[in-house]
Amino acid sequence: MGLGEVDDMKKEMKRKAIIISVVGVLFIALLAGLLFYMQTTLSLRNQRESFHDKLEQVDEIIANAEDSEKETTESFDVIQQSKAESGAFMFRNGVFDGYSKANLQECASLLDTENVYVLDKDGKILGASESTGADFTRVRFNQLRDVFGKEKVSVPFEVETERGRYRYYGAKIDGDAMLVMEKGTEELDGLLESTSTWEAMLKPVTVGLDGFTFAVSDKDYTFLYYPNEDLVGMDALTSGIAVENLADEEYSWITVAGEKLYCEVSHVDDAYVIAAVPEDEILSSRNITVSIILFTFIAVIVLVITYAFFIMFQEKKSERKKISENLYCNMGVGRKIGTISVVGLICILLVSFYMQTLFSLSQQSISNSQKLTDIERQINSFEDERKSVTDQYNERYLNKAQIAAYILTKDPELATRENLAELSDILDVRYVSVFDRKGGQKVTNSPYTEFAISDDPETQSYEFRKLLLGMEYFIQDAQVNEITGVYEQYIGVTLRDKEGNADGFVQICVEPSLLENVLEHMQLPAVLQSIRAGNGGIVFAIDSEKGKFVYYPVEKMMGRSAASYGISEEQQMDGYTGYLTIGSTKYYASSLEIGDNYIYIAAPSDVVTGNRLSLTVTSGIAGFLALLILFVLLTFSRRGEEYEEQLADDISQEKEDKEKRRVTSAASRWQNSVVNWAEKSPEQQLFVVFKFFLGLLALAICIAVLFRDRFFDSQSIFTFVMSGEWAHGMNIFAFTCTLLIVCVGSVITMVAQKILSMLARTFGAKGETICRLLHNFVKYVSVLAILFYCLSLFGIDTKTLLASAGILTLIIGLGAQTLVSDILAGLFIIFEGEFQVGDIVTIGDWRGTVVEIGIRTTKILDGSGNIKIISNSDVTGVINMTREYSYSWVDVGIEYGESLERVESVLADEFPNIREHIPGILDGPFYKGVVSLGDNSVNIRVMVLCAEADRVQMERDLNREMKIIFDKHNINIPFPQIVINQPAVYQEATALDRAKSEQFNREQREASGSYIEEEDEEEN
Amino acid sequence: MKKTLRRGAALGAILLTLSAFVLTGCGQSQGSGTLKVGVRDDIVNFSYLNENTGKHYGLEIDLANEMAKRLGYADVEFVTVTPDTRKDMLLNGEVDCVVATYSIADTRLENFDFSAPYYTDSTVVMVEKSSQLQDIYDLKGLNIGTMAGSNASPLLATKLFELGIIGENVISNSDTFTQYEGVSVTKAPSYDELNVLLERGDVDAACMDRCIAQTYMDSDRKFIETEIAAQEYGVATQKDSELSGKVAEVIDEMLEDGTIEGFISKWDWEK
Repeated sequence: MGLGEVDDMKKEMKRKAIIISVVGVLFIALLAGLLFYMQTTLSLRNQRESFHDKLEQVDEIIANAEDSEKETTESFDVIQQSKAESGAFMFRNGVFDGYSKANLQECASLLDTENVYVLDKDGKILGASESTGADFTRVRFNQLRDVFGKEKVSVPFEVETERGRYRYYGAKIDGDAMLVMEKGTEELDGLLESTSTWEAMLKPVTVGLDGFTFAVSDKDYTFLYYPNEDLVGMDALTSGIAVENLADEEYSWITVAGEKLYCEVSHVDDAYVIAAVPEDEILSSRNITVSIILFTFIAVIVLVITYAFFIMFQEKKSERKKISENLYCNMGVGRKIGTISVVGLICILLVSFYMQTLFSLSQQSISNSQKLTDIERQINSFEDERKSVTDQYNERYLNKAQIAAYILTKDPELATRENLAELSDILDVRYVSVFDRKGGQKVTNSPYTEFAISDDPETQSYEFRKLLLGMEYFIQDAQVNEITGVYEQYIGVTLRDKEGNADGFVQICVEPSLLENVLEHMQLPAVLQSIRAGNGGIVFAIDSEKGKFVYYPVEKMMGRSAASYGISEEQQMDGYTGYLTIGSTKYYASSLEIGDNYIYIAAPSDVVTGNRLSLTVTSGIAGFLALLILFVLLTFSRRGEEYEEQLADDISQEKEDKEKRRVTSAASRWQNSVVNWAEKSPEQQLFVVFKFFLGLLALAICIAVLFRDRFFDSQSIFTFVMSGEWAHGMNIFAFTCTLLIVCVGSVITMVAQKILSMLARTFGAKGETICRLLHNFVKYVSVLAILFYCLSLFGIDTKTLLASAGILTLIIGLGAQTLVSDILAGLFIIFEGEFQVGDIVTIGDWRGTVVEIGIRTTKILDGSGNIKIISNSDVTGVINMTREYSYSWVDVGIEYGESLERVESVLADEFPNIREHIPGILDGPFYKGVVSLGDNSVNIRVMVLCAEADRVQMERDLNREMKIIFDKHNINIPFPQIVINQPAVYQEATALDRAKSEQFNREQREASGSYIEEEDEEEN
Repeated sequence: MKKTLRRGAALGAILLTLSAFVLTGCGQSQGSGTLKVGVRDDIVNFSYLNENTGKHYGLEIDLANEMAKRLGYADVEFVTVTPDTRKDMLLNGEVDCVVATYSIADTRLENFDFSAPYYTDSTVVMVEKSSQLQDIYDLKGLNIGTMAGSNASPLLATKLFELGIIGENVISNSDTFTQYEGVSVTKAPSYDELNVLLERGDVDAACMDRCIAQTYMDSDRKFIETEIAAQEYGVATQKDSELSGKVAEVIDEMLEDGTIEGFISKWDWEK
């Protein structure tokens, strides 16, 4: 029994503390490692999937680019070949007579080409639009000579000459001569540039949020494309890529120019195409998720450990049970720890599950919205492209019509049905028709021979009347022919007579299928078809007005009502983010309004959130193990009863302490006083620790929210949640955002309140009153503001709510009438300053010191230490006794036999002594004269001025003093007496007495003149 | 006192051994410690100079680096050679060895030692598709381009003679042009120029090693099927020099342990 043993006990506690801390830290480290590993693995796995999609997309783009390059080149060549042929036609039919330079030059300008040559069979130049020194006899140009064989036109080829790059087109004029058109490649290069450069192909392919694709040449290992333009053309090996990394379907970490990237390589043609995602992106989201789970874990473990110690320190008389030799179980601690452990474990599970859900959903939302933006960009760019392609085709068709017009102007004799048939064949158009100056069809190779331009503005052909008036040309949009029902396009060019006047026109009819083909891949379904949603997701479009599927991967769904497949009206909106059920599959989807359609990207929900369970289970198991071990360590011990005996002495003492503690802590609630840490119960201590963690979290979140621009990049989950760019409604984002806002709000409120209470301590009573009011005000306003804002996040229309607040007020007003009047009364009390904290007041029949003026209630502490809580509306008829000085008085009776004048002279002598004896007197005492001539006595009044707080005591002190004075001077205070009849013998007052008495009265009146006697007021 | 002495002695012994190591090291790297290797700068996948970085890359570069490492050199200096200059530069000792698609030929063995061949290539004829030349017999009467100083030119003449496309006699011969009976050969000063000549049609076909032709190949061109000759590339060193034996040994070793095979597959352009 003694200090030594208690020290032993402390030592054991210390040892236990160390072991437990080590176990705690160990588990935290273990879980941290595990979570980081798992999350990274999962992220990388997801990345790999998205890489796969992206690289397939690149493959497709490259293949498409090759196709479109081929297509573009082919269509270009077809046009040029037809020009070469029409040139040959003109020479053959004598439109140009002879191969003079002038003729060839005119031909070149009509065909819109650099040079035109006429060659003989061996390649000798018979005529040239310009002498360029080209030598067509060489084998290099053998291909041109094909035209003398079966073909009428030669397959084009390209030669890089000293003068530049040219494409060559040959067309047979007759058995001995051919026309060779030399066309520069600038136009074709321009057309190809937009599709087939690496930049054009790879720039639009983004991976994840910040990821991208780039290409490295497999020949010289230079960057063919990299987002950072400085690197293009630079050596990839010196930038950090190893040759070993560049193998098909290889995943690896690659560092390029100091940036670490996770990559997949794909070998396409002569390049390595690499899909890359920056390390930061993989890590950043993971870090937030894992940190919060870890934080919860740490908090739970710390809480359990500290709680156990609080209990052990304070409840030493624990219910220990001997289990075996040397092993004891502390049942009391065990029960409590068990409860809190279970709650903690549930918390860990909930937080993990919640964070995982948030993580995967926001990740999906971000990637969805990014893809939608991509689609929007693509559709917009196609819109432009469509226009330019149409223009380009129109120009080509116009050129054909112009050639026809030129031929027919030069040689009107050629306008025969046979010649027009040949010409339309050469020009690669459906029909060529010639109209006279009145709009009647002269010749045509079409089956509709008797046709005239209509003069009805409603008909299609009316527009061609413009040409009869002298307009140069007219290109009509492709449309379905009213007469034949065939989709075709008409272009007309005015014919001129020798004076240059309009003389009818040539009209060509073309089949716009070529253009249509080109435009088709720019239509919405084609665009959506090429989008890869990833994760087994789908892309579809719904008409915003009709609510029907405009595009859906399953053909039969197109044109059907979206509502009939489970997409409700509310889900058909711009910017929707959330779950959708289509048929029987649940999707997580995002939408965007583009043009007249809502475009949706949807991923199956089980794929999106499929990972969360495994991670939750992992952290759950880790948490369970950690808590189990802690539980065992904390509950069981090897030492036993002897300690309990030692401590038996302290127990009664402690029990008392405990009672006291409870009372003090309850009281502290009222008076905002701080209870000593040691006096708190373990639960209270635990609560403090809990509050500390909560505060820490709130502060961290607050800082993160306020400085999010600095800590997070624009595409992190955190920014996404804060941006509010998700569908407002009952979803996890609204919930998270609410949590974040509550954290920020409470931190700000807390800080404001701390400042206010500091101010309250500095300033006096009034300051404190205002500070307390502001304190309340801040609390209520922030709660209301947060409430309103968060309601809007949950999709509740707060504007309507505010509008309907009028009705609401009425309803609440009736119910909460007293509440409202309380609050109003409270405001008036504070601003009118009727009384303040610390004042002594009487409210109703309750007298006491004001402790607090709240927004709803006022608290008053009376002399017995009771606190009365009065609703502010009940605070009426307040007597504030602190404002001015209080009066205290005593009425003393004197025997009728006693000389009043003697008494007054005695009082005149004794008043200064009274003042000396009672230090609380602020002024006086004053003799206030005779109050009444009572039944048994003459009553005089003596009054003093004092503080309200002293008033009651003052009265008693005064009484005491008066009694002592009267006793000293033999002045009797009479008993009640009845004198039946006793003739009085009156003493005459001396002259001195009379004079003194007069003087005394005068003096007294002057001295107390300004004080209004309380009694009078009372009587009134 | 005795102890200190003994310790000093031990230290001295260690120092001696160390310096011996250093000395032998120096001896192996032949003084300077840098091997000067003559390489090409224009053959993608074999030896290509990236102008952005000033470094060479390719099969031959990897080979030269590995060879120098095995020979014990601390550093390798790459000196650009051309088919025209490589002979003189090696003779004059401006480079220690040449790894520059240098094919092993009897004429060259007179002046140099060659290692075992590290790469077997063939000499081919490349034509423009627009010339519509189909096989080697179509070359009759045409003008064929080669690179001056390269082995391709004599090999081509031999092959054409064997096939009976040209006669025995050389009608005229200069550094830039040779007129055989039936075919003429234009010798371009560089492969780039040869490429231009072919493109413009100034030569009707171009004859060069396949690995080089690969650099200039595009969709508008093709190879004539008949191969002119096989070419074996070896590392050339000065005749009977000390280095010859070592290089031959190292290359044999590298062929045996699959190192060279690895390099070839790494830089294989057809994969």
